[in-house]
Amino acid sequence: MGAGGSTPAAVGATPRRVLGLAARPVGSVPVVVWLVGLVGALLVMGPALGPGSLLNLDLVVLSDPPVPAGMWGLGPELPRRVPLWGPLAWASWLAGGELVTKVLLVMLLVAAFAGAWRLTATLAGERGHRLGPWIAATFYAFGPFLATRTAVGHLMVPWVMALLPWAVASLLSPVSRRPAMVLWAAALGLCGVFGGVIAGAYVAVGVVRERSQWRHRPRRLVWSVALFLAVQLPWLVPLAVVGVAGTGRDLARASDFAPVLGSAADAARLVAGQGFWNTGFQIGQDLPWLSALAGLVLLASACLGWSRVPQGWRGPLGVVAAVALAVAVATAVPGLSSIVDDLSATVLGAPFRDSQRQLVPFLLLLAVAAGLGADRLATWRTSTPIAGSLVGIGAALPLAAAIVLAVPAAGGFGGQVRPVHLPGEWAQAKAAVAREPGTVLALPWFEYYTLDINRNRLTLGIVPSYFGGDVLAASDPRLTADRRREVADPRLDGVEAALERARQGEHVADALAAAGVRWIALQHDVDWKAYTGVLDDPGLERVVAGPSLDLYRVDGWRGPVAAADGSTTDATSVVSPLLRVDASGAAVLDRPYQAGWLRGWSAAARSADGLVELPAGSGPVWFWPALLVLAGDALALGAIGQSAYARWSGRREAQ
Amino acid sequence: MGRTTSTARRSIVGAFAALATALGLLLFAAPVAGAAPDCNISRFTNPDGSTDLTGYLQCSGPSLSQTTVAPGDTITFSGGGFKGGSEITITVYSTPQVLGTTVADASGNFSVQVTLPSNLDPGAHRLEASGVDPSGSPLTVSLDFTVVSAGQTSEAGAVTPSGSLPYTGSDVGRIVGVGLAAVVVGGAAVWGARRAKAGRTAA
Repeated sequence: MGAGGSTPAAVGATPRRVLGLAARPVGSVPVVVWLVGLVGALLVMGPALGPGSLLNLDLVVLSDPPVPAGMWGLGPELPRRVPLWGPLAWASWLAGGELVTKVLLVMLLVAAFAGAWRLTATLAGERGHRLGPWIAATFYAFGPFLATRTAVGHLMVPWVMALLPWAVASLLSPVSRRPAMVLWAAALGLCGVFGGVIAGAYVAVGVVRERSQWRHRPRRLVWSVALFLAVQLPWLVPLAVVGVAGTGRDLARASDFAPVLGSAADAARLVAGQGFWNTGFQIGQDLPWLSALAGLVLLASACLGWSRVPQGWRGPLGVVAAVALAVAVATAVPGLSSIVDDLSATVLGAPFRDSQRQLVPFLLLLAVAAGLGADRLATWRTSTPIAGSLVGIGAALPLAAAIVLAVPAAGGFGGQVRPVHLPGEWAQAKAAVAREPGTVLALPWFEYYTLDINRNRLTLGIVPSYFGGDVLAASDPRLTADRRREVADPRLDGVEAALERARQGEHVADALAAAGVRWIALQHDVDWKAYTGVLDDPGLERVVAGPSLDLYRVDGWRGPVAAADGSTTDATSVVSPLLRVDASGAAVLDRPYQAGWLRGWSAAARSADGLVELPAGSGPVWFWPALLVLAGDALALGAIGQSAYARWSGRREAQ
Repeated sequence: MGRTTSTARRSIVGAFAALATALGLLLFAAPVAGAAPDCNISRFTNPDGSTDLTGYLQCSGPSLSQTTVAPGDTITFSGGGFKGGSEITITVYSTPQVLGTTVADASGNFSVQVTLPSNLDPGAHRLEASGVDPSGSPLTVSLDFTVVSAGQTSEAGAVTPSGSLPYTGSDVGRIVGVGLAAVVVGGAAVWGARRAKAGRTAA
């Protein structure tokens, strides 16, 4: 076909047909494509590949990331990173979280590049030119959208963008290619609600596309939908469990994350993949007109290439892309914006509030169609050499646009991400907490602040990820002038009141002990000197002191399970939602209360300080909704196993 | 040849009709939005009067109508997070000069016009609003701005307040150069490929 790859027949297998086209096996992607993708990924990562942690807005890559509590349906935070961050944490035990995550990021960028190349080459078919797939791959994998989202730590975005070009054909054939659809949907759903919903959008369109099968194969249709839903359960059940327990009092809304869309030039930049709400982190932000121009060139090329998108693909890809674009700009549409705002304040709507993130299907179609448009120009017949040259240059313009958009990402995501080495006191503090585990209070009391140890860049507080376990931290992202609280941690009222008193110079060790706090990790940033009541509290013992962090032990900590009379009971955590606790009278467990905790078969209550109040008795202390999560995981594994077997046996029969 | 020309014409017209439609839709949406949060780094004044270099994210927080100004200019300084109805003092630094006071509204927000001293030296300066937060604790929000000589403020759009989030990027000229090189190389490659194909067809 002229795109440089071997045909399916060349690798020995019977050519499979997907949506009317010969499927291009993975092995048919030329090695040079993988190599160029690898070089590009290494250039983008740049200095970020060096040893050390990576910190940038939501990007918190540390050596020993904790398994998210949401894996068990434990709140209080909405589980947005399950289940993928579980296996990542487990893998980190073997090779270190920093190395594992950096290798994963490189692999995802390379897979996105090769996937976009392959999809464009597949759609181009025999009429294709060598140019189109490279344009699509460069823009899709190294454009400002994926680079920015990866730089700020929204790792579900590179995960989805790496898999989507490979998965889309199967997702659009949910009945006829059910096993492959289920496996790809499971892979996309691994990163949680973002991937699961995007997979669901393509599957929904695929179900409509295969409506002819509804009458003849109704069971297969039902089975396909059931299996799709089953593989989404690992994120769906924890979200439901935490959602039922209650979310934050006032979740941030879509308008707080509105994409930058204030002018016609902004619209063109949005097309190019820019428009991230926090403009200081938008890669390519300092090339406003060039980015807008590049967006227009790609859009024009995509319009030219639209007719080259094969008939069977045009509708499905176009519908999902249009919906994605509509969602992305919904905050800008009068009437719709208020509805979107209200929806985004709910448990199910919250994951969609950062609407620009939903551009992924639009960008995939734009990349592919722009590549096909360039192909079309490149093969345009002209009558004169001059016209031919002009057409040739016109065909190269989208490549130039893609490169112009990609260049600012080079060198550690445009210089945003550089390895950070945490000073020695951090390891000392972590070791101290590991020796005597208990709830850690993270100060300063801000969710996002600039870190002196990270070139004064804005970062999500790293104490929760660094120490793991139960960490009490601020949950107001301060996206509005009004105070908001994103997490429904029942201890926050008492703790925030105590911190206000500490700012007035009062000693608050007793109040913190009552809230179950055993440690205070005080980072030397922002207003850390203002907690004067902490700095000289005789009830607090400073056990680690360093230039960037102090660790205080709360001497009055009452123990993991404390009775009202001051007696304590031993507790051993088997796994997060299951503890062995000796028989005792009524006592308080130092965990945040969430409906669902039992002692034996008796329900726990909420203590005055927001902790789990156990009834008198014996037996294990356990969080029963975790069983629902496990059941969901088992169903998903079953569906994956069934589909993998069906795919394997189907391939054997085909051979 | 005639059929080819006709097809080409139809394609161009169709493509640009689609482009115009897409742009029209985006232009319809664009002016309505403009709602991206305005985020800055706010800083606290410590009990000893010092200000820590690190700060916290505050969106829809303090803002200045202009970040590049001339001495004596009048600008609007807005912000929030204060106790409703409390008094806020506006001070310009580096050499502290109190510019006046204002009162926070019921939500703790303020917006005040301040006239900058005419003796401000060119360079970086900071405007601070100091008062108390809803709990009565001291609160200071600040923004950096740049003073230039009179007549140079038309460059304001090119300057980013240092109080804003870090601004990252690359050298525009180099990228334009890379882009132009890509056009030339890509165009040459396409042209060469077309000539080769034409040659094969002729043969």
